[in-house]
Amino acid sequence: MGNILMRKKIDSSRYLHRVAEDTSLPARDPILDGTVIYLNKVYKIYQTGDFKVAALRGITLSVRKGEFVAIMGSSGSGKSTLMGIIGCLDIPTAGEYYLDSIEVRQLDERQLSMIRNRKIGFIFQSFNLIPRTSALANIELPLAYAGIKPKLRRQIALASLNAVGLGARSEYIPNKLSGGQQQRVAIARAIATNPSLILADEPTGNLDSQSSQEVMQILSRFHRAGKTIVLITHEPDIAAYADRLIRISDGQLISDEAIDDNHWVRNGNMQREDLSSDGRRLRMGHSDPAVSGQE
Amino acid sequence: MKILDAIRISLRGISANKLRSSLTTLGVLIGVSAVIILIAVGTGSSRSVENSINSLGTNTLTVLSTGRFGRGPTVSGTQSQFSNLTLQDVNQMQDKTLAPDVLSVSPVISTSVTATYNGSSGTATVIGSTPSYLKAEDYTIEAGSPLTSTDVTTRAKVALIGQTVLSDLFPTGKDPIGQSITLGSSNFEVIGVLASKGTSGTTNEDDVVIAPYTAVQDQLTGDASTFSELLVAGKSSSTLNLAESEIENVLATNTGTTVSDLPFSIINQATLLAAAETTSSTFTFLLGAVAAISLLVGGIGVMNIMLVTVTERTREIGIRKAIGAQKGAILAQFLLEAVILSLVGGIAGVLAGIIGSHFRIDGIQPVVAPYSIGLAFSVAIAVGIFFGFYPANRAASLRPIDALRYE
Repeated sequence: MGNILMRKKIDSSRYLHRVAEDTSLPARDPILDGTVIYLNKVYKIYQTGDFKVAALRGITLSVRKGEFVAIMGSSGSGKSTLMGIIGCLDIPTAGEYYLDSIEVRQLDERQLSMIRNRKIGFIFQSFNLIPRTSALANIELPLAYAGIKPKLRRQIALASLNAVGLGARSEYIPNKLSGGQQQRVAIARAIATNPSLILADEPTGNLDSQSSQEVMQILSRFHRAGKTIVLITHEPDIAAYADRLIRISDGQLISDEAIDDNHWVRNGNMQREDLSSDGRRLRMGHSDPAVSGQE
Repeated sequence: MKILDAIRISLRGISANKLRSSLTTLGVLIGVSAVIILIAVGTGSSRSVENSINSLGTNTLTVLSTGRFGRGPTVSGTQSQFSNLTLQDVNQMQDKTLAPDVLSVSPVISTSVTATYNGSSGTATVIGSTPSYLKAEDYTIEAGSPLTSTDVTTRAKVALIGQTVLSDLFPTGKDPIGQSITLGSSNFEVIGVLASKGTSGTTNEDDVVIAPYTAVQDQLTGDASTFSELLVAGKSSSTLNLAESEIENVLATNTGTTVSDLPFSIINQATLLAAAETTSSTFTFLLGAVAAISLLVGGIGVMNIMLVTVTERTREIGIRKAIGAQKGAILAQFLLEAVILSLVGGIAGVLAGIIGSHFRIDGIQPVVAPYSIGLAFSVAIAVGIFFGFYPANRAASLRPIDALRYE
């Protein structure tokens, strides 16, 4: 029963490590050990008719294991394109991209599906749960595509759902869940395969501030548990949950700096007080609603 | 990704839009049941044609004069220059050594006359023959008594009448036995009534009067030596071809010609049956082809709906691909949906076809041909795979980034 798992607070990672590394992916490059994302002079050029639009113009960036990186930029800055490339949904026109030490450009379609399945957990702005499909079945889906047997799949999915505090909602279909709950199910789906990278694209864009906070606190908690998270957003107070901030504009990286408690003071952000106190509270590990399993 | 998972996902997709799915299924249902019912109608009608040919007697041969010159001068007993069938032919065909496989030979003279009785009249075919004719032609006596050989030898003016003649001449329902009816200008005494045989093609087999051939020759045709037709009954249908070659030899000897030059034609009922079977199988094939078109239309319906489904669920396809679905998994999901739709339509269509074949259609009792069930069902599945493949492949080939951004 889901409830028993929840009460005993069974750690989902006990099951998650069983998602097998697939041998049909190319060998990892040992030089990049510990680097989850390595982008070197990445270009993405779209061609529409005679027009060539360069969405990314030489992005060089690396993210080490365990980092929580926020990528900020206005609309049209190329951050969605960057997210597509980091997420292996799209291939760069030029440049190198290594994800978890595997060069993505040399992968075929089948291997790209596999790498998305094993290495990346997606969280989208519009939740992107499969309609008319229960929360549990949604979380089971990537595990099913990974070829995990139904019984184990169910255990992992339940543990993931408990980890986001929705164990009691396992049979709810997305329509019956609030936006915040849907996004928490999406987070549970993203972590179910124990990916190397959690890629969150505007995860709070469709949520009210209360739900946004809950979602970000859950992400922070996974970060503290050692997960690597890349967060794409245009909201500074959401970016403030990360510990590194990258700004892009016109397809180029314009700043890359660590976020500490004085970051927002240096940058003259008006919301500094709320955010830093909130952030500190989080880092102390107190009053995290998701951990308590309450709703 | 196990096949069970794929089936579960496909079923969820189908049940998401129940009305649309059931209408698509209905298209396949109609196609499959149409194939089964129309082939059953074709089979039923050929069965009824075969039955009516069988009722003519399957082990009989009809020898007809073709009216050509040919009877040689060395043969005595006839002065005719035409090749007519004679009593000598009849006697030799009944010879157990010359024609061991012949059961009986009935000489036939037929003529059409007006029959009258007590002011009522009707047109009837008078058949002059011998008692064996009744058995060879499968006539049964409903009332009275049959012809006897004594009637033939004594040239008795007696007659058996068919049901149509009975109702024409005795509209009041008066017992005809012993009554004297007028055929042409002669009076015949009715000694029996034939049971109904129904119609065979365009021939009304109840519109007959059967009398001894001797009396018919005396009273109606006036030709005392030849017959227009011989009805030969074989001992069994399996030896009918032997009987045919025996009587050919008899006729060849009597006419002084070879078997291939015989001035007679011999109609073998088995041959007739085979010809009718060929005709009706063509008919069945045509009906099946018409129904196959509706099955094809049903298949196009499946494809149409699958294309709509794929467009509608582009975003879902994008999500699935983003979380790691292989191309094959997406292909399997949508292909299975198409196949399940046509499978359900196929099963329902087989049931509807079998039920529908229990009703008489335009006087024909359909007979379900087992092959048509297998054929229609497997064609329905094939149609699902064929017409489902294009939309499914289209879904599977979508680029995840485009599919995710599709609104």
